[in-house]
Amino acid sequence: MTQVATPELAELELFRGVTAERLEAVAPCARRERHEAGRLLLRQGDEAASLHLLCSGSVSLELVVPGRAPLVLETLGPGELVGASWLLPPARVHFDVRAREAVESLRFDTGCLQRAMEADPGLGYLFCRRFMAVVVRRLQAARVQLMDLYGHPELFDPQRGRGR
Amino acid sequence: MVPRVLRVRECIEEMEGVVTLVLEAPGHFAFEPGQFNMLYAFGAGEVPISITGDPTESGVVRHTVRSVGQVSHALTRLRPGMELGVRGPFGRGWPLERAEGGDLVLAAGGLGLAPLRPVLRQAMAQRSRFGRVVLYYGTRSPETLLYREELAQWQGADIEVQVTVDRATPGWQGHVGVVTDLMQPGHFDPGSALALLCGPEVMMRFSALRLQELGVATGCIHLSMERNMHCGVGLCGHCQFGPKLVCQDGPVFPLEEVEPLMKIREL
Repeated sequence: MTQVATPELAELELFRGVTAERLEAVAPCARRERHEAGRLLLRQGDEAASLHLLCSGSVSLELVVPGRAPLVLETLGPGELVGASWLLPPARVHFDVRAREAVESLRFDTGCLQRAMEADPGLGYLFCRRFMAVVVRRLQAARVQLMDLYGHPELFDPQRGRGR
Repeated sequence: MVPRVLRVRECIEEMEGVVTLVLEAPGHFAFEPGQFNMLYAFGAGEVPISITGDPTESGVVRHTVRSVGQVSHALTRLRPGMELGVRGPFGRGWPLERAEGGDLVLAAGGLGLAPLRPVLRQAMAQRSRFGRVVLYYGTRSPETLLYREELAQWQGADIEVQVTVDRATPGWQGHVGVVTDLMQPGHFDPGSALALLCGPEVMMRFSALRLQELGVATGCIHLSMERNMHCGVGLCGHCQFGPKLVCQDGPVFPLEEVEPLMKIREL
């Protein structure tokens, strides 16, 4: 686990356009971590004390159902954020986040991040918008997955099933 | 307009309700990747089905059929030695010549991989004609992966194959999520890429948006539309899509031609 320098943050899409002064406020909240394949980055039900920005490798979001194999809901790769549940109370982790291969991530201490965002509402607003973009994109993707596009083509083109 | 009678040589069950019919076609059945044939199941009716074979393959023509209605159900129940009627090939195919020297990006959803299979076979056979070749393939679940063995062959032939499923099952080690999540910067050069999309219209719409976001020019995105083709030769008008007839003007269209039409709900 190593500390992260401000210039490293500046290169990341999440921090694009953020001033050096603000990056300095955020950098102490971040640690670079490595996770072996199979390790949990976040555990369902735990307090949402960490937010991970994936740098390399990929993770699976898994729903734990007692007595059954975990259900993989989604896989995420570099550039993705995991652990957005920290923003809203009760700030609990909703799914297991497991490394599918060796993963490098920036782990943010969410308490530290929250203090930085509250001390500088401009920064808070900026990050809220960026986290919201992630949440909206995932919601849209989840809705498309729910439609079961490939399973029932006749639902999307009524002509298809008729007489064919 | 008169169908040729062809005999079924082989039926390959791809998954439940989906069969690839290998038909005996004496000589060489010439077609362009992306074109379709009208297949006539005697006593049931006729339906348009994309040609899924290798354009250079002689003696046979291949179609992958999903049972979604009475005609397609009859087609999936054909057995080796049985006969069916074939008219075609019809329509405008993929503009592969435009990809020469540049990158080729294919995005397929579900059975939409079938009309892109001839492109992949051609890309594999003439690999040096193209830069990077990337296939993004999204499907419902691991059980509904089409051409499972060929996916590995394509990967081995210097084609980047990325697969995702909407719903994972135990043991699935691949991606889970929508096909657009697979499309990431760095996989191809958006400045030189030609993108070919085939799948449910919703999937193609989202894929086109994502590719545009990644820098692919609208004019370099082509998609295969599906409508209710009956005659196949532009006479009956059943497949009318605004001012276009999908059987003649398509089924492959440049995005810029159909994008405005796709926004009209009544179409």
